[in-house]
Amino acid sequence: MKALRRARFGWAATLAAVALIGAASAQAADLKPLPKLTLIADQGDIVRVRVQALQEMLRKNLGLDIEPRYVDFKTRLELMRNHNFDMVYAGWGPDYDDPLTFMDLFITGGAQNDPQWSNAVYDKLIETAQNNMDQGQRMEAMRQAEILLAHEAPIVPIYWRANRYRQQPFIKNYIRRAVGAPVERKWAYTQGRPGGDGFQYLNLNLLEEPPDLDPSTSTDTVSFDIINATYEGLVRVNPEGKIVKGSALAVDWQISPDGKEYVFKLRDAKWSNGQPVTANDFVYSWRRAVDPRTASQYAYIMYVLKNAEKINAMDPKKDGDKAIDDALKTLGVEALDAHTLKVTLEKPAPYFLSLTSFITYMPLPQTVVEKFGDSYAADANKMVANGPFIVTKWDHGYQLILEKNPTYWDAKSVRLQKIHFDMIADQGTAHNLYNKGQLDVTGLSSQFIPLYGRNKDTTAPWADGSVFYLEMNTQSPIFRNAKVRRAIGLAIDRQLFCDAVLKDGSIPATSFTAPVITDGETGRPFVEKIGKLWPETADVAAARQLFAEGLAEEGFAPPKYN
Amino acid sequence: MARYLARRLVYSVIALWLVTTVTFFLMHAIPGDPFSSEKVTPSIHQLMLEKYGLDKPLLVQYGDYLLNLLHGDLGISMRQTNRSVNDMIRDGFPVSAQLGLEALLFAVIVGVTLGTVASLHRNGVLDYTAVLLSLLFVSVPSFVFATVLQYVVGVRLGWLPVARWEGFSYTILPAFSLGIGMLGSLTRLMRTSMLEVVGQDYIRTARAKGLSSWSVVGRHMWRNAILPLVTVLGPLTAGIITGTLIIETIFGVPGLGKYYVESIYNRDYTLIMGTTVFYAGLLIAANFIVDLLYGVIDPRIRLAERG
Repeated sequence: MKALRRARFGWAATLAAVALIGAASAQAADLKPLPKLTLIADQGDIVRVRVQALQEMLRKNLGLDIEPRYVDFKTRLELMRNHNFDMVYAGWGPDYDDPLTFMDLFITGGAQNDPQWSNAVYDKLIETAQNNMDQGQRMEAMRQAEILLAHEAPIVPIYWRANRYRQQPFIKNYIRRAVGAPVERKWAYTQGRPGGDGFQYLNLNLLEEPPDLDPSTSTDTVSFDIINATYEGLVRVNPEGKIVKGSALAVDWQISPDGKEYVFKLRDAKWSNGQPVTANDFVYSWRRAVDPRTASQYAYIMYVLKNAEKINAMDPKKDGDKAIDDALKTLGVEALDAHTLKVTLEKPAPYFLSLTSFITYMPLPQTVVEKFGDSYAADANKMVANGPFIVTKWDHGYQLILEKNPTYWDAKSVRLQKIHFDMIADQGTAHNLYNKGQLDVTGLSSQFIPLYGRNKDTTAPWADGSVFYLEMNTQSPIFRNAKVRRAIGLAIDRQLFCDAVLKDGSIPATSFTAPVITDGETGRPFVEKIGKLWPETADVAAARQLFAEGLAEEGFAPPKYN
Repeated sequence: MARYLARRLVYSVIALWLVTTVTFFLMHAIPGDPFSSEKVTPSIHQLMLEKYGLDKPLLVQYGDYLLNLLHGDLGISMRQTNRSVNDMIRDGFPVSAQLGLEALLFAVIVGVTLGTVASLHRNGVLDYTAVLLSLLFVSVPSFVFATVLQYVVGVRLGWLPVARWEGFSYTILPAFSLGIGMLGSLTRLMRTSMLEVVGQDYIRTARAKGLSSWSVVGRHMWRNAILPLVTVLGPLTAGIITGTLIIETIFGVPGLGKYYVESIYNRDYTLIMGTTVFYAGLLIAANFIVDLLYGVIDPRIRLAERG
């Protein structure tokens, strides 16, 4: 055959063919084919559907093939921390009401900077936001940082999550929060409950056993919920969402001109065992949280305190107890007298007052905590309270009962006598109990929306402050190019994703910081300052152009569109 | 017999040690640890590992664990901070056991009856009904029964509680849902076993002697037909007690089943080990008891041992 063909086409044709093949192989050597990219996401049907939708958008709009890999949560974290990924589908929720709780993630070498992105300008802007006390200048720095983050796109925000609930309409003043504890029930009451409002109570579902009710070490929202109900710190965000003097233990405070010193005046208040709440309870508790021997995950939220980070970084084995005890005395918190607390910060943090309502900042009575030692807060009879409610019964893994705390300083504002919490993880069961009138509130996840979404007692979508996004490994051969990363973000149709896939009222994320975060000056959302940095619908033309440019720069063959 | 018992006991201990060891090392091979979290910083993470002794070499940790285990100390849960695994098992197991035993009792009584009735009416309407039902019970997963029963009996009819664990009426739906699959298998097993016995010579002899049919069924057929059931009862009992996870979750039952699975997702090392060792011990004990029972029921086994 070969000889025949050569004879028929002659030498010229053969030479031409050889030249063509040569050219093609030369081109192939220069331009690498697009690699198969892996997208890491959590296991479970709900996430799977979301990831498949993203996969399809990237395939259709960019001709990019990604292969999802579903792993359990801890495995995903491990892969992220080891930078062992191309792309990850991840989420983040705020700890306090300041854009910094989002923005400081992506500083060079940051603990959560999984994409390993590094940008000197960004670092500088975040440093300004961390060290400045002028809110105008801080917000401007973070606005610029947001723009830079969207332009360089180590992460691509997709949506800001919203949740809906089925909630009996007779429940009043039931305040959901995006930061800290998920619900504030201090002022809640019922009006028009069938069977009467004489005895004020609520039947609620915690979903799971609270893993840790010790304020110093607690890390999860279920526990935060109970701790917020049973403890009172310096401030409590009021029903209008503001922090005002006298809202909790601090009746007054002075802030030094450099923003680094706070002096709080405390009111007379009692623990549930009758003991007074004093400034020393704060000193003890804050030192305990920062103490490296406590090994508190949230110790980092205390790092604004003078010397906190340094003390927390000590090694209990190498440095020994005495050195740590001595160092703790240098922590920026001090009791001037029983009712006066002086706090010294490492650097000015205008959001410090908001931080003091966080669980880790609650006071603790030393005598009681030391009496129970490691088992403090392990059972209902091994803890004290100074908040609106006390835990009167706790059957682990089954139920927890809160009752009104008669020794609470503001007991007159608390109308609920009793709150019963189930720990039912199964959504279907929770809905059945709600249908029977045995639960007063239950969450409504997307798969139940077709069933109950139109009911009158279903709440409007409520943004819980978390953002979901794609992270890209900026060290990977294809995602080292910012144009490629930005193209990924432009190719995603966020509106379609929210309307057709999530269907729960979540909002297209047009920047990283969630809209619940305020600007610290006017109380307006920070996102209003920055505008829309990502389109709500896919910008396919711009995405394809950037993608092609980026690929060419990195020496990849152009994508094929179907 | 004593020698046999001693030998079985030694095997049991070895089996338990093997389960402990394999689980320990497999568990540490899974990525992540109890304290890996989105928000933890590397230095704090290190402090947490140190506090729980997870920074030590794995073999040292293993040695420590075995030593504590010998003292009956299963350690402190790493997820439900401040709670001892012993307490968690002490609280949760009686609930799971009650649920499991109720389910077992229900499955055995109804299954054996149904299987017997079916075999005595071979190829009749009763037989076909029993076979069909048992097929349905075996093939439909328990959580489907649970969900349907909860909705129909709990919500629509309102005859029994929807969920929670407050008294006997709360145990009926979960026990029924849990036992129904086993009921199906037992019915089929009993029927087959009875049909095998029915053709034996000694049954013909018994009938020829003019014994009443109750006496034939009860004393001669049953006693022989029940043997295969006893064999599977050990693993089934353990299975039903450990298999309560889904049913417990659906009915809000505060048992041990959910810890068994959750602990793995949470990498709660002490709880993974605690529940695994505990359940393994239970399973080994159940098989041990069944072996003993077998000897009591079947004289041939006793003879074989003696010889």
